Amino acid sequence: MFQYARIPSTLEKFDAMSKFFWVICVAVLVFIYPPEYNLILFILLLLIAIFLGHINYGRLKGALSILLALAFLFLLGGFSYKGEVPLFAIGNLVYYKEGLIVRGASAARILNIMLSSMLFVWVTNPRDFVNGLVQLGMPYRIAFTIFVGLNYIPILTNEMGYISDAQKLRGLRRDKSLKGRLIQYKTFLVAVLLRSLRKTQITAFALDSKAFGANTKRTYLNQFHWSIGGVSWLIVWILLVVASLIAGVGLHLFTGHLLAY
Amino acid sequence: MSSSIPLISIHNLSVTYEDTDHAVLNNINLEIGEGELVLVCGPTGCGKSTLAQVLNGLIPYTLPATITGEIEVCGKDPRVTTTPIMAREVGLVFQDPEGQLCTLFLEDEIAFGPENLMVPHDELKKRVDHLLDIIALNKFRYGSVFELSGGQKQKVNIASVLAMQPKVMVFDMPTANLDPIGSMEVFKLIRKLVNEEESTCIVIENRLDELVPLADRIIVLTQEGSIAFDGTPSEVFQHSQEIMDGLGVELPQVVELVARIKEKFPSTLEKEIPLTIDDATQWMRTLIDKRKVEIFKDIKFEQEISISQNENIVEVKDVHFSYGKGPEILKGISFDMKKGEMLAIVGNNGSGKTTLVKQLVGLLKPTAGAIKVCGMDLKTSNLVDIAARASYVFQYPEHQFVAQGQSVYDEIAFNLRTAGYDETYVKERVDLLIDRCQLHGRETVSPFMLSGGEMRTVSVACMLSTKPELLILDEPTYGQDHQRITALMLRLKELQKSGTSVIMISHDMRLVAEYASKVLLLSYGVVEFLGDPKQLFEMPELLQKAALKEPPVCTIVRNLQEAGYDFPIGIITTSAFMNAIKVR
Repeated sequence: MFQYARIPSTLEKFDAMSKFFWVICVAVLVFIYPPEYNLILFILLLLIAIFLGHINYGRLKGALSILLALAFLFLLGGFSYKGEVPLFAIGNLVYYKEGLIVRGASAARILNIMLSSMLFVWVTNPRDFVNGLVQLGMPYRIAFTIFVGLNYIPILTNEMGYISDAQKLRGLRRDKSLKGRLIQYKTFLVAVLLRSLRKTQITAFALDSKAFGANTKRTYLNQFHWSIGGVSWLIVWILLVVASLIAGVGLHLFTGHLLAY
Repeated sequence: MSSSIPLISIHNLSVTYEDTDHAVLNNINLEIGEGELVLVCGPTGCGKSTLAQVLNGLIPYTLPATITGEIEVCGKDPRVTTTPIMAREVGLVFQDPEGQLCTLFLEDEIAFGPENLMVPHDELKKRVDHLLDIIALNKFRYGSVFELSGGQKQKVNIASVLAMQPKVMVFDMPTANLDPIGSMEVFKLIRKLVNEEESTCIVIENRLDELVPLADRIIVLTQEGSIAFDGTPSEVFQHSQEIMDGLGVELPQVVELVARIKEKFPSTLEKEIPLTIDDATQWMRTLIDKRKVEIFKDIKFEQEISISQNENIVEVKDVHFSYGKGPEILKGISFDMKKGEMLAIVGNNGSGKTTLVKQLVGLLKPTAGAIKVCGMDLKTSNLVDIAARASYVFQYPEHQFVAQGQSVYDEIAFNLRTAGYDETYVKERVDLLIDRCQLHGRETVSPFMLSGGEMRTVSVACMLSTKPELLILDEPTYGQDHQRITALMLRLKELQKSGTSVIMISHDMRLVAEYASKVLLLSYGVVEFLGDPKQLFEMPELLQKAALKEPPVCTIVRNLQEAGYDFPIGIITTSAFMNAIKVR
């Protein structure tokens, strides 16, 4: 779900850093746009994912279910907002229109930032991203810490699968009571933690044994290069950010919305 | 001992880990020269891996320990040099194929070390291209390392160390996950490096058949971590009996055969012990020609365990399986297994062996076909119900430790406690298993803190606790020494006698020949052979196709038969060989 999908697509061919700065452009746009524009941006991002990223239905469905659950939690927070126009009530709890607007705006922003970030992860080889960061001046030890973190996702996913299988094979039935489930969950987490620590230790040994950190610089088999497609894509989005800033801040077309919520 | 300038000098070296009061390595003295291929072997927990980690500075740089004595590797003192700096001189391949992967993609993994050593881009590319050819994984070049099989991962790890071109290379059980032909390729590659590049290679290994004829020197460690023997293979194996019985190291089958003949007839042995199959064949021919040895043509192979002829414990019918929309891993597998049998599943790395056994315990569901285990149709059975009757011991023992890592006792008790047995019964059963599996003194230790061999023993003990009808073991001898393997296999034989059926996946053909009553050969998802191991080992072409290798004794017998000696067919073990001859 949160790994590079390695599916050939237009976005996949773009260089990693152009895509990274594109995510930043999206993050700026969500704060310029009012909620209704953010919803349009969300649809645009979905279309980009489908047509330019070739993201399949299964992956997109999984991502959307997480994003919508998150949006629901955000909207639920609207109960804590006291407004003037009540929409509905559950017992003593009243949900106001103002709460919906404020929480809806936050949810829309978060959804767009998360969707663009997920899209970045799906269509970007993490190695190219790390190499790009180093080329832009980030010390390679820090950049590789991010990389090793990304590397750890498949290991951890595999580990969780093994432990889950092992627990089932060792006769652990799923407890029906909440307390029982919490105990089982704790057992699972402790096993995952212990195994992860052990794996981390072996990875640390391997990193040291492969001379990681022996020099202040290193060479690269796959050097980072900006791509024409990626840079063009980034320029379009930078222009969109500039245009939106002019429209919002300069021409006050989004008056009352900019950072209003 | 070394024939040239010593690259490694060790004097009175002792190593004690911080959390223990006894030294793991005890007063080690040795010198290893440039261009030597040194094999280090010894029982589980004797300090073989510790020695490897001292050489590249992981101990004490990353793993704190008290080191006494003197050590110098390529002119550096690893006690005061960081591991990343030592990595220029010493490359280390670990046992765990997955944990030592540092990147996501295959070509990146091979390039990772040399990149850190500032190897220029063109040279990097050349090294990666060359090594991908050597390990024959070019088609996966841009693929994820996590999608490779265990054996393929280990080949990548070896290539990643070779890419750094260190002066000394240390391989800590590098072929534990490889099929026999894969192991042979790795050993030949190591020998080539020594011959052509004058690299110094230290290989820690307990499977000695392929390596001994290639090694210049063998160091045998004792359980207490001191050197018992150090010399050329021929010198060291003058002490065969002591190495096998006293130290628990499995001898190469050729050496074992010679030792057993020597036992019966000491004067048959010349000064130089035959170490290769060809030498042993020639030696046998001389003995027969000189009439010192007589061949019995009619020998009986006794079946000591009765196997039910009617009752099937496993029925697999036309099973197909693929992961998601990926390629088909199992392509129409069909076979039956009778109750009380010990079935060995063999095949090359990536042939689908583990995928097949995961179907048998319900962890994976076939995309087509039907499976019945212990009378249960797996399509309609609950995983927990299946697990109560068919136990599966994972390939990597730590994968199945789930009892919060508290203690070996808790881990073994886990299945019984989840099944609801009272503590009196749990204690009685766990104590019995601790006794039978020789785990005394380890009851309160976390299973994660044990050596690889001990972890394997605990993982088997865990799955035996509930007395399953079918026990499935994935590479049960991985990382184990001879004594533990023998103890485990005898335990399995006992279980088999009491009616438990056993399936084991193994790359160890000697083990298969010795213990399996039936063998299933899987090659790229298709059953290529199902039957008596004696018949399988009569088919060298089929074995070659599946990247397997017959036990050395089979080759010796075939060589003798081809030379016109009237040896009976079906000799696949040293014992059977000894039954077929009479030493005068």
